[in-house]
Amino acid sequence: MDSFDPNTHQEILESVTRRDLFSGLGSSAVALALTSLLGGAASAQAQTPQGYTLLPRRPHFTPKIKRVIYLFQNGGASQVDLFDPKPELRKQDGKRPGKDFVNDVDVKKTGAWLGSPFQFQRFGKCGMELAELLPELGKHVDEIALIRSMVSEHENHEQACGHMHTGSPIPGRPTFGSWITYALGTENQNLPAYVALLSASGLPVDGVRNWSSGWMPPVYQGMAVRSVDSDPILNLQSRIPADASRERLNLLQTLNREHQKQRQDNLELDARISNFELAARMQLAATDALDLKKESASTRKMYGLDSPQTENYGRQCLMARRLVERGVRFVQVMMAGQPWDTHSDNANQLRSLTRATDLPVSGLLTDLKQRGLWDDTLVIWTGEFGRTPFSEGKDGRDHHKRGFSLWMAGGGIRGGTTYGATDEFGYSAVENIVTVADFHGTLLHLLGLDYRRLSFHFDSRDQRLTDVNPVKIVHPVLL
Amino acid sequence: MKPYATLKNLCLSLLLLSLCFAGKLSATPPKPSVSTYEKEILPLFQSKCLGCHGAGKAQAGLDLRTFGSLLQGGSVGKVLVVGSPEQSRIYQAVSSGKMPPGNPKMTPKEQQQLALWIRTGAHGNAKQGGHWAFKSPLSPSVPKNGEQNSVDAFLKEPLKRIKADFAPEAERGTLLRRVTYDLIGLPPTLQEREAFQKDTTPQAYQKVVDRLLADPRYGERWARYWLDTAGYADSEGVLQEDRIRPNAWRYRDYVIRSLNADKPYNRFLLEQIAGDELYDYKNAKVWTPEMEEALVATGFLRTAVDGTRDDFNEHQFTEYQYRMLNDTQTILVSSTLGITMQCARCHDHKYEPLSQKDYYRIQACLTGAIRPKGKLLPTNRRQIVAATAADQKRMQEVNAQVDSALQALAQKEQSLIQTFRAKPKVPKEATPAQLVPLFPEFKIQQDALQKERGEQEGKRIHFEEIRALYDQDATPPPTNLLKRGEITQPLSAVEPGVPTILDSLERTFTLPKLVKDATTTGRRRALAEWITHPQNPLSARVIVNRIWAHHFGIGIVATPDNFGLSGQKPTHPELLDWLATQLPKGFSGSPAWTLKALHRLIITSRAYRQSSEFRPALAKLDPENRLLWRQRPRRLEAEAIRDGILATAGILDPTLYGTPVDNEVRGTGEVVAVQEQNGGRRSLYLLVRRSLPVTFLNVFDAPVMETNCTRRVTSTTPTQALTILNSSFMESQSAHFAQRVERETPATMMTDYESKKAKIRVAFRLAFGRIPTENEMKATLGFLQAQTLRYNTTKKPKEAGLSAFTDLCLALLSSNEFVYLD
Repeated sequence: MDSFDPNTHQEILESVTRRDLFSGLGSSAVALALTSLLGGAASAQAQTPQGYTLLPRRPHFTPKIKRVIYLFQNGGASQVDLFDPKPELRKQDGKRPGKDFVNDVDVKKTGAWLGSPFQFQRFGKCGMELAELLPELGKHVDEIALIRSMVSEHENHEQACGHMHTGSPIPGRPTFGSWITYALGTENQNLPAYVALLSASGLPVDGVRNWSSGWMPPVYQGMAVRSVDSDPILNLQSRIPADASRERLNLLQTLNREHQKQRQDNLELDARISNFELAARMQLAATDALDLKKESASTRKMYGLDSPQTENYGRQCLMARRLVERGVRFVQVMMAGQPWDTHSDNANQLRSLTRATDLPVSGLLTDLKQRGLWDDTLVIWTGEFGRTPFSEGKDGRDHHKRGFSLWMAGGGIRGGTTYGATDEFGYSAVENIVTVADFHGTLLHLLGLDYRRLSFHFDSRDQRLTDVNPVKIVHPVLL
Repeated sequence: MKPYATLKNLCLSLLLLSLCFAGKLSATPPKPSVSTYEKEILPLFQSKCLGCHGAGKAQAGLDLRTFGSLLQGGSVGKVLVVGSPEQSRIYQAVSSGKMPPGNPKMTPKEQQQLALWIRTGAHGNAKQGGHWAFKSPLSPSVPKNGEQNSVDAFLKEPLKRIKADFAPEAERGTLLRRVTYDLIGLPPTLQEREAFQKDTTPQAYQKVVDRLLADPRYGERWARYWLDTAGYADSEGVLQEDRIRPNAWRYRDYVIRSLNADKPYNRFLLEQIAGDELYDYKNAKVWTPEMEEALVATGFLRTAVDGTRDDFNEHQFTEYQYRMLNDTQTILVSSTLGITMQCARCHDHKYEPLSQKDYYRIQACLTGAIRPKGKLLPTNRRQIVAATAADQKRMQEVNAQVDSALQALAQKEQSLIQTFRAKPKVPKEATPAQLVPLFPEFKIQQDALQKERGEQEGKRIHFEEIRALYDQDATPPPTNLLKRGEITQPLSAVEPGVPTILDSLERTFTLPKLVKDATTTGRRRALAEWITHPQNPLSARVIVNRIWAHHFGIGIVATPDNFGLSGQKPTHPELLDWLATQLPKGFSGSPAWTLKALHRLIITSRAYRQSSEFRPALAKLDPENRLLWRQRPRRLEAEAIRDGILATAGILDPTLYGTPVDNEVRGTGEVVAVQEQNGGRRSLYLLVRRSLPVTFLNVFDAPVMETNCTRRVTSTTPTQALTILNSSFMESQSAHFAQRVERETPATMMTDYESKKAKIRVAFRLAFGRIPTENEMKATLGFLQAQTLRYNTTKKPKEAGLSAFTDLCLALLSSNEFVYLD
């Protein structure tokens, strides 16, 4: 936050931007007020007419981290095959579960117990147990905290994704990336604050809702970036040559300034003029940030860019690092469709999924450490729910909300921690249960934000990310 | 540093506000004030007492709805002794547990609150008697200050206090652009501009206003606003699949038609809320257009996200059914009454005098149609066939006959084929196509069959289906209050009704007695009649304020979505109330509740017509321009930007009404209307798919309808800059614009330089309605020269010139002048 020195005005600015006070005021009056507070600085920033900006803002208390990489595993990864060893489940393999164990999606589909075909082994000094499918992640266990007792509230993908991203299964609320950028702004005004990094293969299930700002202004919505070489950001590149484009922009700005001469008081016009410049800077900055050719061969290899199997996810992980390195506040890495949705052929699907992602994720963790980004960055790995410990059909697993695993790594995280537990079958979280609201509260806490104080006025009340749900910060996984 | 001071005050009041919101006030001794009554005591009565001591009931003569009526006491006399809770009957009754007679009782904390309030003076405002917006507006007299237009007369008074007057009338071109965009959502044409400039009669402006109000595009423009509040969408909004509602657009067209016909607003609401209860369509002998119109209108209550799909299991179905019911209620209440009730679904509203019971009373008005616990058809099948029962029966019979005739024909054809296959030297599996060249006779017979089939198909009868909301019968199961809003925890049953605070003796919500053989509950009709009662405190104020907000950028109440205690106070309460009391009577002789007359009144005012020029001296006195000493400059909404671009490029397709224009997703993830590079319909007609919002509109703040949108935001983001400079839409539009300029520049003998200047003038006039200034001309000419040279290296001279001009056109369409109204 070197470019912006917090001062007494900052507090005022914060309280102003924190709520929809413009309801009662001429919006330009507020813009005027903000600009006079910020002196000349505001005109160079993404000042919006309603005072909603992406300027960096101070959190409530000293934060542990500044940036977040959210590796979202769409579809719901199988906890009992990856993170949560269940010898009892294997013993009971093929037996029918008692009537206390049901498939929430469809009771009739409750199959027989299905033990994991994968061996678990202990990794690192801490001895955390992970499946043999995750040898690369295994190298980092002493730096990650694994939560085995996550619970969700919904057994459909879309609602559960919504719940994980926004705190509510009902669409319309802002995703937590929006909350974070709303609360903290961003450090690099030439890049988007909140990036939804999409797979080269396509959109995730439920598309744009996954990075929506809901009822917050669109300035806090994630910007979709596709992890491809050409046109990663929609309309980022001009359709005419760069020099012609610059010339055209100069003409536009000349016209805009001529127009503004008679309207000096209207800061919305000023803001729009600045935004054209910002867009031009973003063109350069984002093009540079997303250019993976600038990475050395060894780095590219570390992320698996040299192999067709790992290249896709590797590109996303590497782009994520390049973005956070440049001050992007929040990067949400999304897979195409919902690959972890292993309704059939669970074992083989997991083999290929982990082959595609284990190395790139490990590469990302190593790289963050090498580049001194580790202490300021949080990496989150989770899906929207887990999978049933019993079978669906012959060899699949169905959606499961009652117990699943999530891990976090990076600044403020107590490495080598395994927290919470499910029952002997991996069916229900039974020990130190962590709800999605707990997770959200903990995430905000790491960013120096108090979940009770961070609010946005909408629908006649001060709304929170965690709404009215009870929240316990998961201190045992924190330093 | 005036702005700073203002901001500080703001922050202070916000701080206070947030304290209240956080509920911290109860932790510290409350300061006796009027607001204590409004914020703590009245809500207490709301939730615990008004069931018996409220509207139309007032048991023991005690009415606790207002401070005034509380002071009056009941049939036993006064119930309040200021300063002494112990001597106050009301406190005695409460603390002894006698009142309320049933459960829930007042908690000890609530009793303490009441005692403390009485002890510290029992402050309240008897004159005010509750929140301004919850009382019927009184008709104030129009100030006499020489202003001809009543709107101006009201606005003038506070302006006089700061020794100010309206600004002079805006320059004609500016005014025409403003009023044209405001009324029809498109820029004026060159011809319209010239006509207005030339017309020196005093009625010139009036004529423009009349022309625009009679233009069918007025309905398109203003339908968009209503569809925002109605939450209109062409898809169900559930899961990734987000199924299309194939006939939802008929409701959209209903709104356009109604506005164009200047249907009275009370009728407009009545049809939308209870169209199915206005005609006995189930037993009708003749199917009438009015009947159909009213049924289509109920599409208003079918806009909510709806996951009642036939392929969902019961559990999912029920969950979505409740969500749809609650969202429908939200849409109904927020659009017509401008209050937020959602909080009261789970508990009594914390900031508004609205109880949980109030919430379920309104819900009970809807459960004749939406049976949260009972049988409900899935969304795609909840349709009304647009025909009388007799016609439907006839349709079934005729279509059954057609089906069997077709079956017989199919058999005939089979045997025909078999007959010819059986002939010598014909392969056993010969297809009809193979038989045709072999046997002319086969062809003849086959053609005859085909003809018969065509005739049969022609007899088939088809009636349109209407996506309507309709009562299933007259006697729905009881509607229960739900503990914490949980569908699994029903409490006592609730009768249909309206929020107690809004009910009053002169306009009580009254349910009609069910007649024998009734086919509907009459509940929504009663609700609609209550909402559109001229004495309803909110309905007229809310719609008047919405229309005002669209003409001035901000409403008289700056929170059009919230007229409650937590909303903003009106800047001009008398004006608002005067407008709200005139509307039900009709403005200047026009029929009751008609809106065009309201528009006319507003936009012919001096306040509307004045220039938006900044005046520093007045800005010091009224920095937010609350008093309207100038018109407010505004950015166009997403749809107006897109439509304006299409119109300026000369390729706007003016077709009214009909099925939505489909969307497509480009490889880049961009969502665009199909075929829009060659011409486009107005944005209103683009398919509204919740999961795939049209990128261009979305970027410029068009709402994604998760429920509805009662107030849009205007943001300025770099994504907008990138979209307007680099999108394929803008590429094609600027090319069309350049070609149009080429076409419309008179082809006289001119030097290249003169021809360039002429084209620039045409382009400026088309985009801005004015010729360029000297500076602009110089800059633009310089640009064209440099840009043409640049393109000369890669393109043929003619192409290079056109490309350079296209770039100029794009700059004009992206400019501040184009997207802002002065």
